[in-house]
Order: sequence, then structure tokens, then C-alpha cells
Amino acid sequence: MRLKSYLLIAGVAATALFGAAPASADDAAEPRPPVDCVGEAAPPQGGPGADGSPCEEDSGLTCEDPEAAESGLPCEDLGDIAPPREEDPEPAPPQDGEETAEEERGDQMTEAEREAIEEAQAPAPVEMDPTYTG
Amino acid sequence: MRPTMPSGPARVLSSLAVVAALAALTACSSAPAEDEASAQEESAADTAAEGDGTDGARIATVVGGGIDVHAEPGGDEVLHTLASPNDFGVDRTFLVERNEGEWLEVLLPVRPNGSTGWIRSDEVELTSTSYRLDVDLGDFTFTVFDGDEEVRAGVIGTGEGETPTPPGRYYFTELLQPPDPEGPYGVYAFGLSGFSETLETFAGGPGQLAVHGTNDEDALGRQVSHGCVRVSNEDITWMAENLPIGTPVEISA
Repeated sequence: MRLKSYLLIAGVAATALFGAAPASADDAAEPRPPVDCVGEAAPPQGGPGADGSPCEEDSGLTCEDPEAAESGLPCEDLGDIAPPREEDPEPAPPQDGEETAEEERGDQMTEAEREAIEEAQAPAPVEMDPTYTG
Repeated sequence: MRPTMPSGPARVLSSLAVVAALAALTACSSAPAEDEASAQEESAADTAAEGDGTDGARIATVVGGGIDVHAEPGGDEVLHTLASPNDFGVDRTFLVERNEGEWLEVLLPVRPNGSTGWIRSDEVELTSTSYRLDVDLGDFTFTVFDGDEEVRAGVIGTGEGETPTPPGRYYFTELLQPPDPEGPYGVYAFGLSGFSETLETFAGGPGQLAVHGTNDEDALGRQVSHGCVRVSNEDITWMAENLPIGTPVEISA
């Protein structure tokens, strides 16, 4: 009896711990979220998507498929979306005026700025007598 | 009386559960630290690349009528106010040594050689070049690199006796085409950001150094000039057709 208790506790602990580390999760083993809907948090079962209403902004979900949004169909299978990966969020692309970490430090340009710098070209010579040391 | 310690198999399972918990916590905590370390290494590498030019150089060209050069980024002390265009009618250009976002540390075309100062990045337009010119005074040779690739090399004439060519880090400030291609400056002359350390003035100018052609190519490979680096007309023509203003020039003894 006691052995069963310990087995149950170990199983619950392992499920809770490894289930919260989706980096090690196999995508093939877990159902993928629908491509039309992206979100920062998985709503609970029976949440905003379950009553037929379109994805609400306050739920943190957007329906990129306009047809789905207009039809009022819920974002399906939201309960199958894996919980957010808090420890490794997807970096947002730098925007104009947005203060990135590099700008806060002020010690380097962003990748976008580096790519925007044009290569200097050979100059047009100025016809003039030089006054250099020769 | 009931025993307080669990029996054999149960004890093993408890230990395994604790080990599993510790392993999961360690894996989660190590990833952010590794990302931060790699980001810091990339930042250091980028900053170093701006300074030594081996991964390409940044060139700052003044967009207005002049620019203040400060002693420190964001500081009030102005070291120089440089007009643009310069005395040769060419837009004022600097070689960027360090990029601090709103402020750029640049190599200055003023005495003493190697002077630097800080300018506001919003007062210039940035371009880049992968070219650099290495001058070896001891071997009387020059080499042009495009990144790590050697693309041109040749023989040079250097400063003689009391008018030596001073070693240092410089950059091209302008490209002149002498009206007389058969004169002592040859067909083209690239002004440098450096100056003779023995001549305060020369030919009506401030003793500015240059890399230029020549009308006496037999004199190349020797100390013959008043400080300038002389190359063949063929070599200076190639440079004029390929190297931009702001190209870094490293002169070594």
C-alpha cells in the first residue's frame, strides 16, 4: 500500500516537472496547434474559443485566418496547445524606435542597422593640385 | 509501532523522484545562462571588429555643413569643429573606431597622428568597406586586402632621412587628380588623415601625408619622399578605381 503511494507521488512529480519543460518535448508526440491561430497562452477547456465566438484579443489569441474570424468559429483545439515556453520566448524582430537590448547597452548596432549600411564606393576624383608632403 | 523510515523499494522510488526533480530544475536553469554568455561574446566580437577593421570598417560622412568633435560621448567639451566639405571640397569623412549607438568614436584628420574623438551618429551617414591598405615601410611594399583576401600588392617609396613616413593607423580623406599626370604626384593622390612629424608645412599645405603615384618609378623600393607613400601610377589608378574614401591604412615600420 505504501509502495503504491510512493509510486503515485513519483509519477505525479515527474509529470509535473517534465511536462513543464516543452523544450524536451517531442512535437511528433504531441498534437500541434492549428496554424491559423497563434497565442501566448492556452485557454482552459471551455474557454473563450469554446462558445463559438471568435478569438478574443483579451484571451491573448488571434485568428490569422479571416474566414475563421468572420465565421465566428472558435479557434479549435486550443486546449491542445502546449503551455508557453517562459524560459525561451521567441524574440520579436526589432522595430524602428523600439528600444532593444543592444540600444540600451549602446555598444553595438542591431542586426537590421548593420544590414542597412551600404558599401562605400570608389570616389570621383577632384581635379586639384595636391599640397601633400610628396 | 510503525516504522518512520520507508522500506527498501519505497526508499529507492523516493530517491529517484528527488533526483528527477533536481535534474529538471538544472536543465531549465542552464539554458538562459548559456544564451546570455553567447550574446555577450557576440557583442564583444562586434565591438572588436569595429575597432580593428579586420571584419570591415565603418565610414562616417558628415551630412551637414560641419561637425563638433567631443572629448567624450555625451560630454560638453568640444575638441574640434570640423567643416564639411574639407579644404579640398570633399565631404568630411571619418573612420569609425567604436560605435556606442548615439555616439561614434572616430579617427581624426588632425595632429597629433592617431587622435580620436566622439561625434553624434545622427550627424553622419554610415557606409562600410571591406578594403584596407597595409603598408610595410621595412619591406617597401603595400598590400590591399578585401576582407581576408589579398587583392593587390606592389612596391612603394617611403620618406627619407629627416622626413620619414610615420607608422600608424590612418584612412583616406580625399582623392585628388593632379592637373599634370606627369608631375611628382603622378596620376592620382589619396590624402591621408595623418601628418609628417617633422614638417609642419609643405607646398603651402599643413604637411599632410598621402599615397600617390609618381613620375619616377625607378625610385620605388627606396626612401625617397618627404613622408608620403609613393606607388606606381598603375597601382594608384587601381586604388582610385576601387578604394573608397575612408579606407583604413595601416603603416607599419
